[in-house]
Amino acid sequence: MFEGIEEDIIEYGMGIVDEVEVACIRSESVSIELKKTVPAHAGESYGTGLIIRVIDGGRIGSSSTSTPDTWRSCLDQAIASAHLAEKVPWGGLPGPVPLSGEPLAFDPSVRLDPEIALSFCSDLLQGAEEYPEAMVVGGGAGFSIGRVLLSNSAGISYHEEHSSVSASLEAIADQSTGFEYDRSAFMDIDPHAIGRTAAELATGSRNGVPITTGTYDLLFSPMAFASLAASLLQSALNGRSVHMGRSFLAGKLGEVIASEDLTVTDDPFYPGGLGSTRFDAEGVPTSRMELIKDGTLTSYLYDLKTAYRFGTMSTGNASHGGPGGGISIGIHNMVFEAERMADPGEGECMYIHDVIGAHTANPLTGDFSVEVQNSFFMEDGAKGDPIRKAMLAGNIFEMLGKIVGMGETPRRIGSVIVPPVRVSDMRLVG
Amino acid sequence: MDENLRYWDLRYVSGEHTGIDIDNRQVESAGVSFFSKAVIRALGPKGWGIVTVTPFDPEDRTSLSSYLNRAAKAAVVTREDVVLADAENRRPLPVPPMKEDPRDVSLEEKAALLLEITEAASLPGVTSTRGTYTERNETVFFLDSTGYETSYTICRSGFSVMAVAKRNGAMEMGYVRDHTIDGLNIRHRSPDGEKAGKRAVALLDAKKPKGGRMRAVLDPELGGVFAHEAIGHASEGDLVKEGASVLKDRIGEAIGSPVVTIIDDPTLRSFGFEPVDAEGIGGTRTAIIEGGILRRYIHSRETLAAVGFGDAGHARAMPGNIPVVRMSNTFIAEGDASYDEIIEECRSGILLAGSRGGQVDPGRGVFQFNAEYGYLIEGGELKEMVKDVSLSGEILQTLHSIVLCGNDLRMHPGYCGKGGQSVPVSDGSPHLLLEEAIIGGSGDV
Repeated sequence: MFEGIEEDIIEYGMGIVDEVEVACIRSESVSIELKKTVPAHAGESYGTGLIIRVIDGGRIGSSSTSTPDTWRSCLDQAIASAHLAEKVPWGGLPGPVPLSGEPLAFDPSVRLDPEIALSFCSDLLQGAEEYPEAMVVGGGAGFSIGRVLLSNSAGISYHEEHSSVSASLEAIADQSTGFEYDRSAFMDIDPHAIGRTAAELATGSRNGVPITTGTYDLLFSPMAFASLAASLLQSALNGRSVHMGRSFLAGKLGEVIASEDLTVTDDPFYPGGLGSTRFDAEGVPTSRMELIKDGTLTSYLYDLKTAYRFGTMSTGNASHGGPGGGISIGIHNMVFEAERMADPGEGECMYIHDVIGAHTANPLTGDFSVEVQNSFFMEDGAKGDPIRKAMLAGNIFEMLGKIVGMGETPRRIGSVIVPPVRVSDMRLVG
Repeated sequence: MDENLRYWDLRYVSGEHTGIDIDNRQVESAGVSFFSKAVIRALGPKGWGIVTVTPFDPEDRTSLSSYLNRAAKAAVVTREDVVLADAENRRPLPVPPMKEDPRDVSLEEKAALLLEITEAASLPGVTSTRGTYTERNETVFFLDSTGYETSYTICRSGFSVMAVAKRNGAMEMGYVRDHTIDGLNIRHRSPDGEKAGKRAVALLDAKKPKGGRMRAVLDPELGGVFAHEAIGHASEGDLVKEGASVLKDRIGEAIGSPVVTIIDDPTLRSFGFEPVDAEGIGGTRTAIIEGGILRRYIHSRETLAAVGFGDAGHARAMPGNIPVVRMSNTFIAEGDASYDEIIEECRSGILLAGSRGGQVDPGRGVFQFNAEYGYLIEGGELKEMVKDVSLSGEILQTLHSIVLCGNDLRMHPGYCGKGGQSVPVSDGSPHLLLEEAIIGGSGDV
């Protein structure tokens, strides 16, 4: 890495501004991409990044570069950026605390070896062969390892390693498509099962039947639920959006906002969570945060700046998600829990595996109307006929109040952890 | 260099990104960041070996050759027989001159101009405003194993302004954005802020439609999204090649009504303009559908060789990413109907306007997109305003339902995502009348 550079930057910067923070990020990866059933691309990547943040008289500035050698101009830009920013009642960067233990999202057995990626690809294909009527369109597998070093002028020098293992497959049978993937920090994904599921979805969704427009009970797969609800709920819980008047959940702390058995937690220590970490992007130690407890809104998410500004504490949710690597508010592992149902598909319902267009929902009000994908009539947990085409319309926040229960086994979808979710009374337009 | 390589290329992109974020009239953040990213592709006896490097120094030929060796080594495990079509057009287009180069304007002045726009959005009833400015200056350097070399510098900049209006616990959002390659576009743009504020307030009184099958009119922005989602993606040569497009094996077929002509044109002076594509190939205006007949796909060199029917020059890449077949400026050509004729002809239905984006499954042939707002049409006239309304359809049916194309084509800039990469595009259309559309909505009007 470019160890040592952070000390030079902090020392130089402290001659000019009140506080300095430096994040050095390095990552490497390998991947194999399949086109149909054939390995077509074999890739490697090597990346570095440097993010500098300065605070001067309560004004915060930042800049980033992929060329660490040129840190001086990056620092100059961070200082210029601070001059322009509005002053906030800043209470200082955090100092060091002992953060002991193994890295939470790093598996030392992850190796950047194309041969292993290739063997994952052949497992994907073998899995897909269980449904021979499905044609493989493409897919692939990849591994990456990253290291973050975070230092600041208050004496922090933390580092953390991350690893990532992923595989995906896309299949088609006639005009019916199926896609499945998994991504983990550990070598615990099952490419064979991924391949099989993609091919099974494609095969099973053929010959869809029309449905009548009306109101139905739905069983959302973890994937469908996560893509509809997670990012919208996250932005509504974002402390900055809340205080700036852009959140549906503003002013609702302590109120019941969901069905009474829904609990949503940000758990930075969730075993196997992709977003697991001991400190956030500002060096604030992370902790488990209950956001919704038994249907009641219990907390928003904060970084330091927003917390100082509105007289509260950082929840350890700063991330490098802003433009140019600047700080934004994020979530580590978003864990959804509700009353467990032995058979969430009991009685009659529609099983919704995925949706098309989740990102087109109204980010402010939570209203959405999306097209369902790989969805089925379901009776007592058994899939019946596939649904040819239907639009699902509703409101995310209202939907949280219509959750009847969840299945036993949660699934990881990126940094969202959720079981299948049973929701009543939703509108489908056929 | 490894003698087993049939071809290699390097695409190196460097530059700086400026971002300004104004939240409720205060500068939340403003600053400049730097990037330097390279992709090296090497074509071995079979498929591609690819190395992505950040940062990269193009002057350092020793490191280029060591990365090339890595790419050559990586390519050994590939098994696809990749063939490249000849690079016929290697004449880069000049980057159009800018009216005002954003690099000549200070960050302070840009922040002040953006502030003016967001302040204009603060109308009575508006409780929150936000404005963002982005500017990316990038220099692209391309070199390949034939010795061909080219480079250009392009600046893409623009703004968005958002207003939130509240009344009795209800909340709505108005949103206006504009991005361009024509230079600084944030002077005298207060009317855009005002428009965002007015829309937010007006939406407080809008109803949610019930949804169902009905006649629909699409405005030029949404018509453009329709062209992009319903046809553009499915005509991408890589999807056709892999069997993931419903437009596979349909060249020469009538897949739409005779009034429909859809074109993708990277040479057009609009937000998706590229002087050359990410394989160093000059752009071509590709008429995908002419008079309802599917004529061409859009291609990279590889997919043109594999599939045929169409033009290379449509490969695009985000800095530090591999070239992928992508749209650039995609539009439905003008017809001769006036806007008034279209609304009148619709008689009873819905007008959908503005876009919150869309998505397509090109293999299944189903697309979805969402409008920002709309109006019910009754007796050939616009009536009540509606909100949160979307449209979905099947590619092979919906194009037949376009019965009228207006004479008022307009392009709208945006970004398109595919394969984890986001590239600047523009979409456009005249007003369109659809004989039958599936409208999604959760309301009861």
